[in-house]
Amino acid sequence: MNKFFVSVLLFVLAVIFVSNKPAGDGYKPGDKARDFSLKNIDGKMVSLATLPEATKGAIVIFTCNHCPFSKMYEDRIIALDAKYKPKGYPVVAINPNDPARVPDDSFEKMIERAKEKGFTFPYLIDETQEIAKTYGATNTPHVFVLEKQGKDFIVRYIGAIDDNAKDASQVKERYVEQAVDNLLAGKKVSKAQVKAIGCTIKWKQS
Amino acid sequence: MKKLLFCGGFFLSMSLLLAQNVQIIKKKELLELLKPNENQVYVYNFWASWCAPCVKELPIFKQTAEKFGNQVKVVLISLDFAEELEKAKKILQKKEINFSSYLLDETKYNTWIDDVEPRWQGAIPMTIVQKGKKRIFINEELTWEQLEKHISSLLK
Repeated sequence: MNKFFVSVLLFVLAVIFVSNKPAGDGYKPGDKARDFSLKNIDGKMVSLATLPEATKGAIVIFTCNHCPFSKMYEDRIIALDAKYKPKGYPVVAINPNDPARVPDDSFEKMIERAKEKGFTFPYLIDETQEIAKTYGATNTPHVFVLEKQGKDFIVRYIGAIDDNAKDASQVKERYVEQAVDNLLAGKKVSKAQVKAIGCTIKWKQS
Repeated sequence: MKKLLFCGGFFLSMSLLLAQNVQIIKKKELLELLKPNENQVYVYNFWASWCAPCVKELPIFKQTAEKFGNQVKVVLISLDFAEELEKAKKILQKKEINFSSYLLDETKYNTWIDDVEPRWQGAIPMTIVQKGKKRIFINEELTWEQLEKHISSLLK
């Protein structure tokens, strides 16, 4: 009887614990990231599993056209892709903003911007905003470095690209590069979460 | 002549009064501003001249100051780069906002965001409505109705 009560109690506690986890809390380093199938600027669907260059992982960056802080980082995002795609960590950019709120972030404008800047990586639209919500993205730009383990992608770093948005030449710490370099060297990521100022994600207003 | 001097002096002091006074501060002063006070409701808004939704919602903070007077203290904190202080000033002037306003000159963002609010990832607009230990954290653009509701809930 006692055993029965204990197991009922444990079950109830487990249910409470699970249901208390707030929805949309987002990922923490160490969590398994869900894959996605999102439309790229070339009209094709892209997912982590079918991305040929993502042999060791991926640098997922929530970003957009309009945000001044995203713009300041465009060239640096291109540079990240150039440096790490050959090493198995390609950049995957995702625009999570509702174009109804920010016309500059529409799919057509994404195509234009990618052409202007010569993006070398997929630039995907998260139309339902489900991926941004699941990942816990709140800013643009907002980076999630994922490490591939078997078929899974594990979150290893969340946050800023580096420590100087304004001036790339004054950067002292390159957080994303440090994280990927750590992973490539088989080490633990030394700084797994770094915050920075950015634009809010423009959620759909229901 | 005296009258003329008086008038001139009057207009000069008026224009000084209306001129935008944005004080440049560091993390230490910012945390001082955020210290909870049991007897006062505060509205803190983090904004920047480059952030369109921030600029769009600025009038609701003016409205707060007008409607609630001494009951609520409004503190605007610009996250513009210090060399772009004039841009921030111009916007405040255009929106006819002339209450306590600051520019936080700290671009190593990771060194202070958690000290302001651990739930905050750094995206703006961000608003805090606070009285003592009660704190409402809002990380999106607000309407006047929403802000008024938050303030009223803490004024009770």
